[in-house]
Amino acid sequence: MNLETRQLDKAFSRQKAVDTVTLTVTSGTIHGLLGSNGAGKTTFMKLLSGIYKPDAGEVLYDGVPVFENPDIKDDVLFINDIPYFFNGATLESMARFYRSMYPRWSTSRFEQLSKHFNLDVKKPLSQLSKGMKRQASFVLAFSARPKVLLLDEPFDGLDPIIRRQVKNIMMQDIANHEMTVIASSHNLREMEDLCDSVSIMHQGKLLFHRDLNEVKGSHCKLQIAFDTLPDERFYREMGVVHREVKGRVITCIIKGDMKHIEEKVTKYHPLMYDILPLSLEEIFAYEMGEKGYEISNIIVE
Amino acid sequence: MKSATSLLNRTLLNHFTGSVFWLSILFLIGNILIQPLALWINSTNIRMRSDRFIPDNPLDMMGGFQLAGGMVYVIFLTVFLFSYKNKESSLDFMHALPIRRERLLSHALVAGLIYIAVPLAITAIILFFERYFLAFNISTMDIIEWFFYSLFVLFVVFAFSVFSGFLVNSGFVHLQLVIIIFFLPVIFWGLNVTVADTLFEGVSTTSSTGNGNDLLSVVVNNTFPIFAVQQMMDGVILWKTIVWLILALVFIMLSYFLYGRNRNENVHSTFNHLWVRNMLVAFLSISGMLIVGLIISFTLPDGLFIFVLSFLIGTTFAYIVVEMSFQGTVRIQREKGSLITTTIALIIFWIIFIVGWNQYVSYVPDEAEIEGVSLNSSWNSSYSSYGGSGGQMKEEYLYISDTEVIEEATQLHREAVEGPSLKNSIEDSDWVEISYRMSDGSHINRRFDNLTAGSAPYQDILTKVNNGKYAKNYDVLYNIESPSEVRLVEITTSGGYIPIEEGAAFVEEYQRAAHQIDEGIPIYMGIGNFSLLSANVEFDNEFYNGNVSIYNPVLLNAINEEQSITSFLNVRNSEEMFVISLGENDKNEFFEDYQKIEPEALITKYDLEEVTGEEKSEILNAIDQGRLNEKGNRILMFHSDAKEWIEPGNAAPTASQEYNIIGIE
Repeated sequence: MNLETRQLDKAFSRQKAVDTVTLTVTSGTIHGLLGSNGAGKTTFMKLLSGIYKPDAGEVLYDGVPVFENPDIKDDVLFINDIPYFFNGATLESMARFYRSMYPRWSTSRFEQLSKHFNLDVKKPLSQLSKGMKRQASFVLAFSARPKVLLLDEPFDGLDPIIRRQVKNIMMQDIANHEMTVIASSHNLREMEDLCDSVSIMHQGKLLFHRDLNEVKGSHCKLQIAFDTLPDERFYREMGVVHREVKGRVITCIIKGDMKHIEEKVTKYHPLMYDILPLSLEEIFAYEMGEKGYEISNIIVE
Repeated sequence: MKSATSLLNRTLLNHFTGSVFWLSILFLIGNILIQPLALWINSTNIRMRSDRFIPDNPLDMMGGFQLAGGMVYVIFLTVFLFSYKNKESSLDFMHALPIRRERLLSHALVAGLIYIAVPLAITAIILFFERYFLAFNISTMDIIEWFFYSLFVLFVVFAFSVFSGFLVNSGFVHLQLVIIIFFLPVIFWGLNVTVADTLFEGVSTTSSTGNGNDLLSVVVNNTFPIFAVQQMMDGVILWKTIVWLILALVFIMLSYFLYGRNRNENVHSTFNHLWVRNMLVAFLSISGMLIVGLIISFTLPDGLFIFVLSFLIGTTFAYIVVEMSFQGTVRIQREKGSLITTTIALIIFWIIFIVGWNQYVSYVPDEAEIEGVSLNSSWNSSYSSYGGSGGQMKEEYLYISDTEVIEEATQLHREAVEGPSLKNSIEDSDWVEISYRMSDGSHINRRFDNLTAGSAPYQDILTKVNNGKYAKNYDVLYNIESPSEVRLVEITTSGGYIPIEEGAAFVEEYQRAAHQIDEGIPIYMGIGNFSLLSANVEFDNEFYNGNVSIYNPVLLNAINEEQSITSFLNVRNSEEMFVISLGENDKNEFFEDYQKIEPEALITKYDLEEVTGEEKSEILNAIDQGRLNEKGNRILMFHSDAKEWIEPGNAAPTASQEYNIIGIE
């Protein structure tokens, strides 16, 4: 299911929480929504899930608006940063409720997953730890087999092993059912190995939206050491867009033709060099720096 | 399971019903305690004490309590049923589900209606089987009527409660709001009238006559919880019931409208709509202003400055309390909107209040439109009724249609309107009330503190009204509209009472006999709350007290069956008595003197000699045989011990204030 937002606006009193956001997420991909606290991520997620009515603009799934549209919501499932369960509910009773709500619910999957995560389906959910509640919410969400899964800070409270397991199940669903996932986080590294595309929100605005494979295919990091530092011609020829010089060692980000980098580098007779892929943080540092933002002001960790 | 064909999602419905299941169990237990168990206890008691009173429909005995309890239950039911919308987490969860808000509301409404109807139905079934074992009869129709009426009442409360819930996002404020919606109009109007009564001459808060339609009752009787209980006791008024039902349906529709419009993100605000909040703050502040202002202005000396100051203090006090309540903290933030709304509302309120009440109290109706007039005073009221609206009495009761009396009454009214105000006086316990029955069937009541019961103009009219030709207007038994509905009659005098169990038959005979009594002669009826004889009349849910005629042979027979007439009337034990024989032309003068001059002067003027010895015995025996004569020329004037303490005034008492008179053969 493709997701598209067009010029989406949402304000609380006079403060804009989401400001003219336009975003497209392709079916069967994972999109990371990054931003610091108060950036507008949760508001945006609630707009995507049809909880909030936009002040302006639209949220469309395969071209159809989501707000007050049960036909679309049948396939869209939202997990809040603090999962909600009814008072006194057990995983079993919540499953019954989800089954009646989501048409693609799979009871066999629910049984399989609750067994896998070792969850007691008859135990009141209020007695579970924060991490266990989070696991329960994932079990319910995966059993509902939505076409779009909206996750607000999804991995908070999960230990690394469970986190990996959850990610694996998510990957399976994406691969098998073309599930689309939009996950918000304030943690760059958390998203790095998960997302196909990312966007950054800051003060309600979408500052950046990129396909990570595309960025990684056109950018790399070069660490190079010289006897004598080269002149500006080197940087121009290499297509350096960002550089840091420490003594005789240069670390720079290169954009452009990745195939002929080594050929170009060796022409300058460096003492040593290394070509590395860019981390997400470095991509942001470069991209955001271009737009005049300091990445440290946006991403907390 | 979700189905394209089913209207309701059973799991969602179960979710809503499950959230209030135990509350409904409490309601069911309460219902069983209040109706079947209370009836059982009454039945057991009646078997032991046969004189215990049981109404025609025994379900009415506890009906009021049951309805009141039911209304409280429904309010709590609504608050808990819709509690999900007061918390962000639950609201987000519910609104993220693939179900439209209207359907969510429909499910909650159905759950609420189920838990209103099912406990009532179970109680009805218990009552149906229980009735075979009770000492009194309850018909199946009574139970069916009880069930549907209770359902109607609780449905209306449910509709109002659901609607008010969509105005707020807090369970506690929801509770407050339901109470405000139901009772603020009556409290607000009541305070208005009370303050107006303090500030203006002529305001009659509760009328002594006029079918109970006074300033307060209009709003009180249309306050739904009061109306609902009243209807259960007095019988259903169909058109009003239909109006309330339509209103309830409108409120349900408005709830759908509001729910569709409400913004999810407002969950953190107490009110969904700022204007509702501001209006409520304004209304409650004005109400608080009236209460506090009234108390302060009562305790402090009279004066414009004190008056303005007390109401200003009242406004400030009330505004702060309301804001604290709505903001949920004592550290309130200044709310510009509510402050401006309250200020504007205050200005509008005082303009309407002063202009409106001025017009109201200065209005004297056109004599041509007046059908009848009734005069009452603080110590001299001819009529009282409890629990009813005066609906059992004929229109003419207590109203005199004589154009001369009407003319004098309106003149008195004008003088009172133009006279100086004695308002704000603590010692204003003495008042005169003028009540008009208009040709369009309405009533106009005015009460004046600047007219005292002892004042000459009032006494002049009273003397005129104390005339045999108006006797029937003041006869409580004669004016009963449907004698067959009378349950019990008690004939009372200063010394005791005689109960008449067969009230309906007695009143019918009394009314037939009353037609025989001559209206042509002046005979003192003792218009006041301490006449020679009075009667208490009891209907199913109403009670009346008023004067009756001693000359009615049916009444005399009823007394005679119980005890001697002279003992009952306290004639036999009277300290002194006189007999006077008057010519036809002297009667009017004597009656006027009797009401106006002191006893000694009357005795001297008419050369009255005390009756003693054998003559006294003969007269008493004749009275005991019922030989009274309202047309005759002989009048017995006897001293009444009970009269001395009841009537006010420092002036020397008139003969009528110390002596009673009876026409004898």
